[in-house]
Amino acid sequence: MKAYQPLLEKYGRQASTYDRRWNLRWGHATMRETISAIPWADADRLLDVGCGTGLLEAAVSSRLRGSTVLVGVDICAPMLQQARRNIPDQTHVALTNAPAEQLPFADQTFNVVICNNSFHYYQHPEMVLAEFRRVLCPSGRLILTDWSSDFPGPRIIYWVLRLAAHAGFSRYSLKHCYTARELDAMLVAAGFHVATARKVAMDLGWGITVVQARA
Amino acid sequence: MAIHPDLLEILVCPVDKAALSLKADGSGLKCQQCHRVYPVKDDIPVMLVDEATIEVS
Repeated sequence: MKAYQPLLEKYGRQASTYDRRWNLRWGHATMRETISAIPWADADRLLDVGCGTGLLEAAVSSRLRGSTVLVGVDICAPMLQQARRNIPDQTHVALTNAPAEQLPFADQTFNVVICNNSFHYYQHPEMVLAEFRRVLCPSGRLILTDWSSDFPGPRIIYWVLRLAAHAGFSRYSLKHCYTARELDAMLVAAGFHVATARKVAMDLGWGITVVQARA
Repeated sequence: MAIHPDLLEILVCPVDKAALSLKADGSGLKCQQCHRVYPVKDDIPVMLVDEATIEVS
């Protein structure tokens, strides 16, 4: 997991200020798209990979009922500690520290896997998708929302960050910012059946892809 | 606050996917097969293979 060292250092430092800096504009809008794509009626075991500061958990915790459990996973421990502070009701929410490439769950444990706004970081995206499919029940759903290279905003930010890392200004390294078509092809290659892949435009040229896929 | 009971039920060893047992003092989760112990920090299980120790006994 050495490939994640720059990311761990960055987010370890920024955990307490991250929400103020990044989540106000696009973070919340992206999360709302993800939440509206979740098949809540069929969801009693949900896994959120790359949960960060628990933005999504905090937004939905009060609507979780009965035996429903939502597990938030992140590779960065300080982000999870921030999540613990951010989530008001943790009756149905649990957190654990793990990499997306090696999830600590048995096969077919969840009926929904959520990946909100983190897929561009994953250094081994094929492994991550294989893990998502492994831990999903046969008819389980993946909701994957991420920056989209189909829009100028994410495309520009991605190249600026890449150039900065390449020139040595920053050690911060995203893996890739995908187009909707690229995401679709990767999901199909991983064995998913893509039900919908929606491009959602936001302000200032930003945009995301929201994918619903069946395991 | 302790580890969420539902999480304890579904967590497995990330290496061999075997069952885990919570150590008596709550400090870690031990794999019954490979004897790796995953630490629990601030009630959050750290399921990172690099952070696990091996305890045979």
